[in-house]
Amino acid sequence: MSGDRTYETVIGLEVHAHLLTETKIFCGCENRFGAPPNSLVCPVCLGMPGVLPVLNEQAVELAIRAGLAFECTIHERSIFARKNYFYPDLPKGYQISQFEEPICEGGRVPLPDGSEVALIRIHLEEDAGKSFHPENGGDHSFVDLNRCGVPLIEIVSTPTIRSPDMAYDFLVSLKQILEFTGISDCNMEEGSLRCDANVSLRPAGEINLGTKTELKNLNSFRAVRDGLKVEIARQEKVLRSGGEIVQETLLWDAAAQKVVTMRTKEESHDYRYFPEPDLPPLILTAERLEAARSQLPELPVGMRIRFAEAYGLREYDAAVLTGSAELARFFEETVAHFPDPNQAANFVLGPFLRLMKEKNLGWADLPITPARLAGLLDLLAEGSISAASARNVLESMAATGRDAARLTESLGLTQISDDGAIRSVVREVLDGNAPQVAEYLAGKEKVFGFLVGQVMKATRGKGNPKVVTPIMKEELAGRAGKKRG
Amino acid sequence: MLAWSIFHGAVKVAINSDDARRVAALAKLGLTDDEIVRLTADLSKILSSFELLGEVDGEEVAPRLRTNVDHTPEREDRPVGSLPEGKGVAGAPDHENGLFRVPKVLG
Ligand SMILES: [Zn+2]
Repeated sequence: MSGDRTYETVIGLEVHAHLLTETKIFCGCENRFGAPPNSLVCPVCLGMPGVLPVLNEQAVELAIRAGLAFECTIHERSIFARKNYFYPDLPKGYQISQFEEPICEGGRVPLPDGSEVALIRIHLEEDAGKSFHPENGGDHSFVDLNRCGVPLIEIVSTPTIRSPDMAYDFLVSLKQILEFTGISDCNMEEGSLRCDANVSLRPAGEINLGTKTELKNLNSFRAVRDGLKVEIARQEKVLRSGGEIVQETLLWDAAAQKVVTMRTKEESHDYRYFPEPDLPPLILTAERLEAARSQLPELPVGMRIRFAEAYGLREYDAAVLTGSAELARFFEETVAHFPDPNQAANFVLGPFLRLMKEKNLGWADLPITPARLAGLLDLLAEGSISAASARNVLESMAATGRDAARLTESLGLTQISDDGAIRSVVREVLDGNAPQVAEYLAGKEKVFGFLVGQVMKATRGKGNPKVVTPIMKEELAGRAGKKRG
Repeated sequence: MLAWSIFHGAVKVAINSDDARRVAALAKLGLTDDEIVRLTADLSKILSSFELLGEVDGEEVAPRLRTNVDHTPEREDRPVGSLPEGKGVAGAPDHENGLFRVPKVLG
């Protein structure tokens, strides 16, 4: 009966993003990843008795910025709430969050196909610490509270995401916006961006939502897509066999590619939210919102359109170049030094990105600066080096940080464009390959490529093909004349 | 919701032993039956004290959680330092290599 139904997938995502502040949300401890355990802690974030939280103004600024970037309604008044639960990584026994009256409501995330996913809300909260459960830890777990009190925004989507691929696109777009606006570095390895998914199925055409499960431990965008695919298939199988979905929280096990039950509804939390008595309401003035609006950095969609129009780039190239804030910035600085945006785009999207990937290079401390890359593009454009040599120079530049002209010289890669020098090499090659010359002259034109190849070999790739080709033709024509005469 | 009712003052709250057990479970407290009986009585007494607030005529008064301060103060986003290394865990019952050591927890 239920076997031949089609089902519609309903996905809602909750994304937690660390804010790029200097300090934690309610105390002056540094907000920094990778410090020795429990070295960035104080009585406030340790939850000692008698301390009071004081809100970080920059965390508020970044939450406002998120509200603007995602086109939310930003509330002039919002309040903080206590979310109560007991876990060793939460020393106070409650997390300060927002429940009723969050800072932002509504909003949207644009998708690549021009559609969008509506948001329910964005609110401010503090992160908890990090617990470790080492294999050899015996009956113990270990807790580091450096992350406790790090400012977060939680972004909650409406349950209008219809497929794992759409969830993936949503996250890519969301991350792009957070990075472009400097709200979060979205570093998933460091836990700066985390995602939970609520997923349910319903018969196509049904309006009421089916029983949902919550999927956690989605540590990468790929994990989100894979985890959702597996969970949707699981739910579909249960429903088709006439079974019922149990409301539960599941953990994604990426290694085993399966979901594992974490807790069922009976064990689910009852957070007993209530207004945080230690923090009066957050009131935002119209002036403050206006100032934030006027300082909002350019958003990815706008930048993509500008790149295509201002630089005359292909739509696709403009989209790839604005795929990350660093890449977009790098490209813009490069074309500030080099006049041909399309040539720059080809090289950046080609050899440059390939090298970054191959050598696993990061943007921080990248020895290839936009000015140095522009220098290399100049040499390439004026024919002083071949495309192949340019790639070698680029690689050396990544290793040494020296400029293109000096590297080209020291690597002996300067292209030979001098007529006289090329002509003498061409003559030597023709003299040394008499049988092939005879074949060419007999009409076998394919041999031409071979002969040019020999010149390139003799010049160790430095002969400028634009100079070699016409000289080769001239010289062969000369020999044809001689042969006839 | 129990907690909200405290803040909304006027709601009459009665606690039975199931409520007490549920709160204990949320707080991960293992209580004996005797303790549950005692705590049910204590909690009921505490909550009934709040009911005194219901005797005040608050018709014309807007709900308010705090006095004096209308909006939360904010501080500049500048590090002011943390406890010296090792000091944070020093008061804990158990720690190892700078980490708090706690009974095994999962998930
Ligand atoms: Zn602190």
